[in-house]
Amino acid sequence: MEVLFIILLNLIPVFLFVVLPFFLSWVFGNWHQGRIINRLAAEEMALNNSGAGHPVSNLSKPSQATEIEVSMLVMSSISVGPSWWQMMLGGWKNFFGGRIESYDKMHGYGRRKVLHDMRVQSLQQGFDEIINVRVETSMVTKKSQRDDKTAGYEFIAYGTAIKYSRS
Amino acid sequence: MSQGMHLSNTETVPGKLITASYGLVQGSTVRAKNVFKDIGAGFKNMVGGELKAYTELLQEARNEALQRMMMDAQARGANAIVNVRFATSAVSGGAAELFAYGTAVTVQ
Repeated sequence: MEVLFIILLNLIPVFLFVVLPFFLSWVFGNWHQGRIINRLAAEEMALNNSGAGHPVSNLSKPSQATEIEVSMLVMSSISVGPSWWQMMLGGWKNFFGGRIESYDKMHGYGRRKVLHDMRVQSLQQGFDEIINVRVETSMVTKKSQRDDKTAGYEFIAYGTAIKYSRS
Repeated sequence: MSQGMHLSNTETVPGKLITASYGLVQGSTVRAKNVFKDIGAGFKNMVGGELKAYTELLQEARNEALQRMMMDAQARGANAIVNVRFATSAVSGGAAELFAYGTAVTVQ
């Protein structure tokens, strides 16, 4: 009985500093990420249903042969990171190989967010479309010095916004 | 942002005619993340999502790189930069380089 008590006593720090943080990361990470992804989906849907049109493309030429009044470089960027829980799952997948689904969530969010923000920004400035769009990803921080388990990525979207002449 | 200078990531400035080209112009800056932002981002990583401190830091740095590129173009007498591209790379454990480049031209 005494031995069991000592073992349980020694397991308390393991629970407090290893199990509990990852459990909290799983619970609150899922909740927080679900919330921001749903909010973005609602904003995207509202914009699409607003009838704004506003095509975004990676074509190098404007879609209309109309005279162009003004053009401008527009861009949007965001840094995002997976949760501790997702990083741990990613670490496991690195060991066994295969698709790392836990990273997909935040990567997908980052890309969608920069494209949406860039579209909103150019619409607010009165532009009709964005052409030659580029989306790039880069690593901005590492989980630790010892390996390449990344914890922060930057996504940037940029393109040329065009406003057609109304006359 | 552009202070009268046309910026475009297409090969021309849409709706304008290029009359002269001055070659490649560039601007770069290296920014280090401070330890407090690193600690904050570490805690934010508990739930994941946007790392606002890094977003702002990199946006400021990219604007500075753009300003330097535009100063380079202005010094050559250009009024536009076409085919603008951005590159970001981690140069050491805690620093990132933001690089902007393009071709300086004069447009009518």
